[in-house]
Amino acid sequence: MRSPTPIESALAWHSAALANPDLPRTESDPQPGWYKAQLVKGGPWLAVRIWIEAKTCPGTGELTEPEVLRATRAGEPVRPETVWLSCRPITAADYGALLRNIDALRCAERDAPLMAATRVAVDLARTPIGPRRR
Amino acid sequence: MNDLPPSTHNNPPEPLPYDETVLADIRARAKQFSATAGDWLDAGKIPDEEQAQLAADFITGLRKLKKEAEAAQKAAKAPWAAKADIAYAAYKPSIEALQRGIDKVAKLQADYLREKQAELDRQKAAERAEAQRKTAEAEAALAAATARNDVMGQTEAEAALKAAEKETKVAAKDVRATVASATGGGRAMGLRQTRCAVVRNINALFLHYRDAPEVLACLETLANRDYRAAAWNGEEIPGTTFLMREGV
Repeated sequence: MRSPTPIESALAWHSAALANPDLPRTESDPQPGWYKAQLVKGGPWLAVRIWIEAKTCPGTGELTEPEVLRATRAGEPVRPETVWLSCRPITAADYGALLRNIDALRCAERDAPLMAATRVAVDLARTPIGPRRR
Repeated sequence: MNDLPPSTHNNPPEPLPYDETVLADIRARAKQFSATAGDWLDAGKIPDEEQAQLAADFITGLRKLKKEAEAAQKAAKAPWAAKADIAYAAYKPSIEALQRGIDKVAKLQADYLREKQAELDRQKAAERAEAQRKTAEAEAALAAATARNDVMGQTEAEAALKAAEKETKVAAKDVRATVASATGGGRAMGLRQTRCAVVRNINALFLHYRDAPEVLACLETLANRDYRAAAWNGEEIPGTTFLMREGV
């Protein structure tokens, strides 16, 4: 058996991509990290997270099963390969802010979550975005 | 009976020249956005990246709504503007023909008035010379009559001198050539004088006007045009410093 992938090496590509947005990516090799993605042009950002699921032995810390790559997009589990190419890397803090925005921003006209309609462009001319109250 | 309202007072009001529902929508949204802009201004400062991202979306929304409002304004104006253009164009050929007639006939009239003015000037010069001659003659006659103690002669010479002085005064007055209306229905016409400058030395002229704000604005426009041109070679324009101004 082998040890789980260290967090630094798991996030190495993500860290490099944050510094260089043009960093090449391999289509069949999704990389763990925090991302945002859109389903349509001008549509709301969706929070995407890709991570390595590792089951380890509590005694030895070694893997009991092969590591599996998992992903969620807008909270829904998805196959990492299906979202990977449309993902833009963001920091963990931005990921948190995006989640907060998704919860907090509401459409002024319909009093509905502004970013809920994921396949429709967000019309910012219909909803004034105010500063966040602390 | 005199207090009766005027006729047609109870007609329905004239329909508005724009779609009220479109305007109401834009107004309502502009009000919301203005209120939110107030919230941003109340905050005073954008403290972090998260708020900056929200502000970016707000500014995008403001710009988009402004664009929508301008498009609606243009659309509301378009049918009226088209009608205005048609009305304007309908009169334009007649007005242009009339203006051409004014320009050409007025030129002939100006030529005539110039000749008339020259004739009047000649007459005035002759009158002035005649008046001077008479004045000199009367002065000489007065001096001679005084010398020989000819009281009658003195009185006549003084009267002649007075008349000559009066003629000098009249001759000294400029007369402008005018042409009266033939029928009485028109206005008298004269040569109109307009003061204007002919530039001989542009540098001296610039030095004279360099403190005028219009000169600075004109030079700034020219320099900005060159700096913003795709063909700008990166060299600073003399007398200016290149500045990349930043804004959102």
